[in-house]
Amino acid sequence: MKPGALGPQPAIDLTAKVTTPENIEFAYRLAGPFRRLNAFLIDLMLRAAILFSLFLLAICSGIASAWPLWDSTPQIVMSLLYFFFDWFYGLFFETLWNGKTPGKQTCQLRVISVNGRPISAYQATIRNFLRLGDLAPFVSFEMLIKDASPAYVIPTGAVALTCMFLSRRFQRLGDLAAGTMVVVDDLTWIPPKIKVGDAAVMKLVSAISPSFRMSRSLQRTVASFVERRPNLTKERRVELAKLIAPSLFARAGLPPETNADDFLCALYLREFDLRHSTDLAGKSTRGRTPTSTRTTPVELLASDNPPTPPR
Amino acid sequence: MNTAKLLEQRRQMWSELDTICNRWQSNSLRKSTTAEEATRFAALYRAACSDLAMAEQWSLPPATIDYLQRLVARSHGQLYRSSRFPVSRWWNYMTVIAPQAVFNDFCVKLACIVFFGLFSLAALMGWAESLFPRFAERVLGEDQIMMLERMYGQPLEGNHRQYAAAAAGYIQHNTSIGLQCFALGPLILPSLMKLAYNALSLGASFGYMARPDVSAGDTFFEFVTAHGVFELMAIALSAAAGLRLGLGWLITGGLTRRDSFLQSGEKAMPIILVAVVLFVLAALVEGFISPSELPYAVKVAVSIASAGVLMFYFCILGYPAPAPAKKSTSLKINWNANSEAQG
Repeated sequence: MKPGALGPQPAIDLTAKVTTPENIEFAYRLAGPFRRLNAFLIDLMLRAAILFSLFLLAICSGIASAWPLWDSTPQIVMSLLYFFFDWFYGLFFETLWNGKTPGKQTCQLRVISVNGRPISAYQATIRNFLRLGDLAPFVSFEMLIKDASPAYVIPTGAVALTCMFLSRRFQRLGDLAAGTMVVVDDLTWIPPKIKVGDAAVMKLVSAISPSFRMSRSLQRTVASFVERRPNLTKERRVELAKLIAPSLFARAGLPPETNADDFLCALYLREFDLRHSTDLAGKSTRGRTPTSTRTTPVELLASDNPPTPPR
Repeated sequence: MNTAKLLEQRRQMWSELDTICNRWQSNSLRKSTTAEEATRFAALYRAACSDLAMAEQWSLPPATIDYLQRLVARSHGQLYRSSRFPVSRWWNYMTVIAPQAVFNDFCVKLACIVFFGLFSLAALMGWAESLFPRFAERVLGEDQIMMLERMYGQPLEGNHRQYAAAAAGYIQHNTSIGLQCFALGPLILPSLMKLAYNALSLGASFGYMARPDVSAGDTFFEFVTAHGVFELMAIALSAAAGLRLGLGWLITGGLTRRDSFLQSGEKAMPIILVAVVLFVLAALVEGFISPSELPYAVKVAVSIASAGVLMFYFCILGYPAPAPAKKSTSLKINWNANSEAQG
């Protein structure tokens, strides 16, 4: 990876920007150590379960088979499968499942290259072979209790944690060597519905002067506020809205005693929402505008888009 | 222009792309994809990409931009899938790139010197009882020496049934040790300690067994001769691969530490692959030939032959010839998806 290939990034950021071959930049959400720990534990338990069932199977088949030539077969299969699951489990699944293991699939994580491309088998090999180094240093119970069996060795994972906190993309040692990162890969994500449609707001929408135009940054600010609004208490909403709204009342042609919170909601509806309720999941198509009302930029863009299939 | 109108128009396409992504996320359904659907997906993906690019221009609300980001990320993940080991390049990789990488690597030399140096030293000290009394006993411990004597006390008997099981066990056990050596490599010291420990204990057992007064010695050497060459080399190589990673972030050679580490990972790869292959070969020999009743001469012949194979592989195939070297670098870049991209 070249330094700065991903563009300047703020120091604390949970996203990694990726430029696609289509020359579009988008951001992946990085997965932190605790999200990844869950996936790791699921994988660990899955492996243990598989090995245990194999072990039972081997014993059963060993007892059942009276064929002398095959009496060591369960042992062979066990050794080889143990070896496989011990070292090649991650490599196998990450290569086959497009950067996911069963644990990662459950936790909605995916491994990709730092440049945003999918990982190659080569990268999967390196990052999985180095896992043991990431789990180091190992602490033995013997250090705490004198009589404890030396068999109980606990991996602390301090190396992985240190690396993750020192690297910009939460990369562990294996990720650094392979040039990979783990990102959140949502299966389905429906944006929260934003409902701001009470009567007072509706009245304000029509009351705002038609000549009132919003700058880009104001649009963004209003949208951020309205999207975050459901998580705030009523008093806090008004308090936040008052920081910006009063300076706009005069331009919007409204009296200064207007409710600041309602005003921002009205601005949002006026700007972004045709039907006065936002439904980004797109399940309903009844509100679609007829083609004739398309504005120029959309038409420009629509020319290189596929025709919408008849439904 | 009203953003709301625009959103209305795009929403349908986005949700269609979303549906295709959902369907493709389960691998079994992906195989039944029609050509038509694939083309449609590509077109929708391009449209979503351009929408995202225009998001700022159209001043879409942040939640929509977030939604688009995720949609494009998901589609990107479906469009560009992980690449397997390309089978067509295996042969070239293992016969051209890997031996040259091993031959030219400074860490291989270092690890070999450390390993075989300590091994010979421990063997000598374990053997010369009069000069270094009780050296082998102190290194190995009385228990292990008792175990070794018991194991090799009686002559080898070929139990054919157990051969394959033993070989499988050796593959699992020895390769795991080698891979541990590699995985601890970035931390340098644990890997070196593991290497030194293996060298010393192996050397001490060899030296102890070579003493004229140890009766189990003959059986011991009859057992280890055939597979020893592969196995010792494999241990040294896996530590060398680990060391390569460790030195990668210490000695950067003008690169940033991160880049240097990344590059050393690429360099360590062929070494550890060769080590794994050697471990498997050694385990097969150890399982099938070493414990058999074959005459000692045959086992010596196997040992010499394996040494010859290694010499041929590392020195003749690995010798840096000018013309193939050029070819190999270009292949190396293709092999690793990392080096390309980011044009």
